[in-house]
Amino acid sequence: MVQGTKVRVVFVFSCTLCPAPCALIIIYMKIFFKHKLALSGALIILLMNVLAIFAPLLSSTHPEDIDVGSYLLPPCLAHPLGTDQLGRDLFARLAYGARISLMVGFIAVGISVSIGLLFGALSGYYGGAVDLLIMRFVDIMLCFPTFFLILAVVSMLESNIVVIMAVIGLTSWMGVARLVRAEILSLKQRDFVSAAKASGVSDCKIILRHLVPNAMGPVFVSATLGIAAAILTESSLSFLGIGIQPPVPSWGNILMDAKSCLGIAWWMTLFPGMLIFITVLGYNFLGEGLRDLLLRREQEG
Amino acid sequence: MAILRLVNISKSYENKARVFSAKVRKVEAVKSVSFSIKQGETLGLVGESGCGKSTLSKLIVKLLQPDSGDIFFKNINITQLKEKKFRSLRRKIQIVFQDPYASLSPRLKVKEIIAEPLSAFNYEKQYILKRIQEIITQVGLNSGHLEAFPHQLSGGQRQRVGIARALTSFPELVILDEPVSSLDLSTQAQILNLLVSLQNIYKLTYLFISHDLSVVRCMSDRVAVMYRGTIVEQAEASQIYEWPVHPYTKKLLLSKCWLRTAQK
Repeated sequence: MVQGTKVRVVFVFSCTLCPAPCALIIIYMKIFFKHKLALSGALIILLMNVLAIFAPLLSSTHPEDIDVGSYLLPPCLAHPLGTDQLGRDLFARLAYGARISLMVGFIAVGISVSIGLLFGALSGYYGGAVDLLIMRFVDIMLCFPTFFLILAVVSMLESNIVVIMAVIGLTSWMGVARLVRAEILSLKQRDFVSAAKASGVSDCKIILRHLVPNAMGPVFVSATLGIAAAILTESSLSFLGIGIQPPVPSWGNILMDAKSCLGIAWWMTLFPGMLIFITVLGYNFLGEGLRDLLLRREQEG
Repeated sequence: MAILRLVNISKSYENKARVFSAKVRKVEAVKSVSFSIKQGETLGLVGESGCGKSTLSKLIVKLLQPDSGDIFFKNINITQLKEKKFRSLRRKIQIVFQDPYASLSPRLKVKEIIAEPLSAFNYEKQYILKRIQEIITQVGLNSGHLEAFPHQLSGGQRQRVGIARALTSFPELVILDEPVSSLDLSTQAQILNLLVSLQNIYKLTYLFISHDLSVVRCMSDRVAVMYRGTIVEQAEASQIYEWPVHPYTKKLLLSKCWLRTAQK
């Protein structure tokens, strides 16, 4: 019952936001809210974003403030998740770290999806030599062991958050490009594209208005899964000490700090580890849910 | 005067027989087809499925390039025209597709779909708006439908939208590629009546492609029968149904009769 009313509130809210495609949104929402997996994924992600956005309100201290004398405190009232070996509040560090980790995930995927869409659309629509060139470039990019490429690039350049987002984005667009190409190859055979061509619509408009919007479903799915992967990559980089540089917190470098006192301070490993795990799980749930949802839509329509 | 004239048009597709074999299987979809359509008349094109009817329609709107032969639209040889020059002529030759579910872009609203042949040529917004209001009522929908998405409409309504799109840019020749074959019988009749009344309003020339002989009969002035990529018989509509000459035409007409008697 409670869930039913909540669903209705969301409907009303979405309807007031954008009245025009309201009907479509309601259909999607209904299916979405019935899908437990997708819903739980979305809730986890929402929770993490709330944690990140309201980090200053939720935590009593600044993540870089040192509480002198209280090193390696286990969870207590003053420090709900304990402190690290420098006496910094772990909850504050995790909350601020969420900002970095989620932002890296989001923007890196934004970059990879943009590049993937561009190359995939060109390759799929024009075919021939363009297709051959782009797809062989994709093959070459896929041959690099991505993680080591990122390691090499990051250790050559100065390691800051912009470089990390760019490098993760630039090395993960190939999957999206292939996906978009495959979608567009099948879409461009459809009658509505022929109709547009026969009406004299320019190639550019056909790609932007007719092909790309219809290819977005699978792209959303892969983007959602991609965010999970990007968060993991960032954490791994920071864990190895070449990602986000301390004292700025990220989930990965908090884990790295925890490594040195693994035996004596369980809270330092458990909480950031759980956060990464739950967030990645949330994105994967949402991705899987979206896949079910969009596939079903396509079969129905 | 002939608005459209096809002279010895041929088109073949090449298929590799197997993945690793060098043998190329050639499928001749259209074999030296010639016919012409006079201004204001309806030419019915009948034939079984797979005989090259749709290929022919795509050749005329230049979605495909013929292997040989020429197509003249109002004495302009459009096969030789570069896409850049042909683009302005595209407004004058429009096409209505068979499947109204596949021929409308699912993410666009009806008004965007109908406006497309005009908005592709940078007409004024005001003019386009006026024009789509006008055309939507002429095809039997109302302006409320303009805000709808295709999936909210029925099959018949979608086909009306498809017809509206073909007519927004004031075409002179409209190719109807089996426009009613995916609709149920009552809707078929409505759409056919609509097509006839629109032809009178806009002084349109139709190339009506279908595999349904009775539909072609009620629509066409002249009928061409297509068999395996060639046109085997071409005559006035009344003549072809009364005195078919070619054996294939006879067979086609007979098969229709067989169905009727079987139903009884």
